[in-house]
Amino acid sequence: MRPFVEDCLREWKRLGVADPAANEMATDLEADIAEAEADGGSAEDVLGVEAFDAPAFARSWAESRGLIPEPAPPAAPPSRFRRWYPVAGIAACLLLALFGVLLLVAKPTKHVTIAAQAGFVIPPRIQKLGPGVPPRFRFVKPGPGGKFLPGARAVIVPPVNPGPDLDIAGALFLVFGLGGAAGFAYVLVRRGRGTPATA
Amino acid sequence: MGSADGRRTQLLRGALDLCLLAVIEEEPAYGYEMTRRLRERGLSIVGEGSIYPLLGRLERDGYVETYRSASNGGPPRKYYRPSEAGRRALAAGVAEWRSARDALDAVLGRVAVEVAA
Repeated sequence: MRPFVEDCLREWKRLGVADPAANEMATDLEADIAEAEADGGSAEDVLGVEAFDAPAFARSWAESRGLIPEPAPPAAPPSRFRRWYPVAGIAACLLLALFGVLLLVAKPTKHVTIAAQAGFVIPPRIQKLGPGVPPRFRFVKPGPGGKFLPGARAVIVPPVNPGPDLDIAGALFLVFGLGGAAGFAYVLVRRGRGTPATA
Repeated sequence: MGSADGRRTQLLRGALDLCLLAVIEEEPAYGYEMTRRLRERGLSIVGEGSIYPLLGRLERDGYVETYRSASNGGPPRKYYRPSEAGRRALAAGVAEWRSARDALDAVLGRVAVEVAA
């Protein structure tokens, strides 16, 4: 058997081509090359440029006959959605985080009820000045038709049910927003390096 | 613009399967015999790669049937002949080829060509 055919046979075995099919191809190839040489030609007359690369030729022939799986076609370019969803994800997560920051920093002033004492006709509007125990307030102006008399006292009644703790909610938004943005950024960077992301 | 060899390769690549079906439609043949018949008609495939992968594809897709038979004084060879699907594909392919050739001739046939001696 010619060295070229032996190389092909070796490649077919390496690729897992079944022996009967590999032997059949080797026999045909050997006979064709022998006939070409008898005609005064060479293996190149049978194989063309493939006569110089036995493994590539053997692989190509076996693939075309369906004896081994053909290589997967090149991946299609990512769709517009696949290309942009990490960027959109980062933007959405950063918005979420920003919302969390707003909840933490700009908490709405809790409603305070004042009980009218002597001197109030209608409870005045008050404004919280800042945190502290006890909280400090100042009167802005009396309500419509209200009247504030010197010496009057206001009794601050703490809110009965302040609702869900906005600090915790804000912190959760912030953490999940930043975490999500970091995850999408990771996907974006891996894609930029050409590594398929598994996420 | 591509070289003349490159264009010839591209043209041949698109029609080589039809050429193979055509030569075995005339008479069944084994691999090297097909190469020889093509060469006798001026269609040398040397440089384009061998016909074996193309034959393998035609066989896998059911366009050719094979059988073993003794050759002239040599070992038994694997002969190829077109299947019914192969004959239909050949007829359709030849019609497409002629249509494309006529359209190209309508454009390129008007060009006066002077070949330097």
